[in-house]
Amino acid sequence: MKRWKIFLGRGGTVLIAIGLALLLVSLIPSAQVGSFTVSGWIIFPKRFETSFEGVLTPQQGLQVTITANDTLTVYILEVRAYTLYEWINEHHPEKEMTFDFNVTNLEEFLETNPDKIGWQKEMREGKIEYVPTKVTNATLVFSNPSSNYIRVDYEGSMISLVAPGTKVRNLAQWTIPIGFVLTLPWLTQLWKEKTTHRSAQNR
Amino acid sequence: MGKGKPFLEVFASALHEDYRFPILEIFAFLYALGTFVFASFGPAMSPQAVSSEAIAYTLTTSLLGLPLFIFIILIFKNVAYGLGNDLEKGIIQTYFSYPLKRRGILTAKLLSALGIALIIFLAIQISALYVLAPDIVSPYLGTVLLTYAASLSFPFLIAGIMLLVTLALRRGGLALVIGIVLYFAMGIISSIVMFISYATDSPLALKIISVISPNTVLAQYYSYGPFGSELWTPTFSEVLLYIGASYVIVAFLFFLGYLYFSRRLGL
Repeated sequence: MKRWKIFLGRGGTVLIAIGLALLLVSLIPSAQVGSFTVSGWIIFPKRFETSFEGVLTPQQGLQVTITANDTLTVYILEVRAYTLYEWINEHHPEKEMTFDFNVTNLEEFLETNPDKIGWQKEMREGKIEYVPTKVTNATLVFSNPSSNYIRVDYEGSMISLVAPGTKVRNLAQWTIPIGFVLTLPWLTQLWKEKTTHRSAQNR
Repeated sequence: MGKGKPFLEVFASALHEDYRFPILEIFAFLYALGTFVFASFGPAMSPQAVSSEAIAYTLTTSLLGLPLFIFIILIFKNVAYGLGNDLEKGIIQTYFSYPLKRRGILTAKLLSALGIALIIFLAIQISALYVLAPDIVSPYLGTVLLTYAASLSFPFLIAGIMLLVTLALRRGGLALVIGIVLYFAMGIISSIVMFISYATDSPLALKIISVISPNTVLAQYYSYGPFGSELWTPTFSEVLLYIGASYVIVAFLFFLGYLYFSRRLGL
């Protein structure tokens, strides 16, 4: 048998093995580690509020289900809430530090530090699942840019996972077929050799 | 026939012997699976409390438990049985009939036994690490590679000893047993050395063990040793020095192996 066929074939079988491992990893479900529920939280007009704060890793993400009576901008910032407050206080020393800040201050912070936005979406209701690609602080921020009071209910939990499921599954979906394609000439050759061997034995 | 073709013939034959279907596939599967299952980012501490470099080190070290043991089993099997069987069954004499120097034959055998195993191990683990945490692996690839270098030095040292034993005895069974015993003995010795250092309040024992197992000095550098940086805080240059020294010992053992194979092996 030609060496290149064996080489490609074994490369293919290795890719299939890796793909199967990735597929298996992607099938391991995530586990909920600690949860929190807030209901009837009012976000004032043109204000933002910070909520959950913690350390996230590529194996420990955040899952939040939100229901509001109007559209909010939800952010997951890769900073501690304190860092955000401190930045606002430094840049707006005339204002006292409180727990509800003006939306424009938040926007200023985000314009200056766009790399700190881990996730961002305008939403009324829905589910957020955020898993960072590094070890990072994370703060959940609700911003109300409208002129109305918005009532928010949300449930959240930390999720513990082995690997980013979608990413790993996508990789597996590529590596397994590529592996099969590479293995085909080798398998065909093996099958031919086996058939020839059998017919020679039958004679 | 040029020199390249006989070398490739011996190399291909060694590859065929060392990685019979489905050995390579099983190991690749375990490496990929092990990387995700055993990955740990350490305690959930604020990134400000621990440097990103230390996180990269912790993450890489967390992978070097079972996957590293699987890698060690593979290289020990390849060195002890791959070479041992060739010596025992006289296959090596067939290779000697090739227009290739003895050192070329040993290089082909070792490239298959250690080189290919290492490439597959590192390629799968680092790629899987990148999938898991790209923002840690990309900026600190140097730390990741340094951790692997420090952790792989001792397995290669044992592989060197196993090579010498296999060549001396011309069979691999005993060499494999010696290798496994040495590997586990090192774990016990490391613990004893830690306690001695702690009891005597002197880092001397740690420094000695770091010469053959430099992941001790790296652990001290990142203050992950059981007694942290209080006992010994090596500088980065010292870390490189210990890792370099350990590889010099490994290279010397393999040099002895080459010397024995080329001049003393009476076949």
